[in-house]
Amino acid sequence: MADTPSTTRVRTSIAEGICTVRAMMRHVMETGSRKDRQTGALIPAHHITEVTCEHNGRVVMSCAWGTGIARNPLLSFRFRGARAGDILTLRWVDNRGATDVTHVTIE
Amino acid sequence: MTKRLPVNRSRRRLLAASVSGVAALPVASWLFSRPVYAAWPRAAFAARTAEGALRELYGGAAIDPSDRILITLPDVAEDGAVVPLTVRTDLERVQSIVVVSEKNPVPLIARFDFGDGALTDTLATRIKLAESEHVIVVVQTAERLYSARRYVEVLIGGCT
Repeated sequence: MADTPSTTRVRTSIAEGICTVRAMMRHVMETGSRKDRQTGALIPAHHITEVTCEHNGRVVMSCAWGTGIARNPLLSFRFRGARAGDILTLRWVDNRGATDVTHVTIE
Repeated sequence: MTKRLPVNRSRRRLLAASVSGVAALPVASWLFSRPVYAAWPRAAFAARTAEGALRELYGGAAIDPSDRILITLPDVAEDGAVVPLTVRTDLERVQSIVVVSEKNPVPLIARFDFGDGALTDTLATRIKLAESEHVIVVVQTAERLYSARRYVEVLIGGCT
């Protein structure tokens, strides 16, 4: 999985040292209570469980998510102390152990 | 309320077990062998009521209503599968923000943990709502717990 390109899109903007992060992840976020239309069997839950945002390697925001976050999740927040050129890293892991890592340069 | 809030009940149980000696060993090895994302609050996500989820998260600690938490949600959500949510608070020393739904099959939606420098003036995501219901937001500061709620009318449920 490590070589899979990230499907997460992260946009940053910075003003007076405050960085605004807007991240869009690609994930089905399956609830586990939906039924397959053909077989009638329950479709197992499949969702992101943890998201971590690091600014130059330091965690500024981490999230514990369940199935109540919408498909293709969006996360937006702001943090203080950023400068242009700093690195923002966004990682997620899901309940099946799949992972995704995205690095962006803050600008 | 100067004492730290009892966030982690299993840790408490572990402490209790360690007093009784040998019984703690298998528990400890299980706890420490878990991966980094062990902090995911499994019991709270397994709860089937909003009250149950909050009890798992905060161990029954008092949660005070606060008008310093601003929840932005549509009054009417046409599609419960994608409901935009923004939370803002000017409470100080915020450690985490928890979002719980009143009637979703899995009431706990998310916990957001704030590191140093993280601001609490715009936290935004999109959530699912099963039916018309309240969305409850709990803000944990270094001192105590505060909450606010907002009702959303949902036209098409988003959890099935």
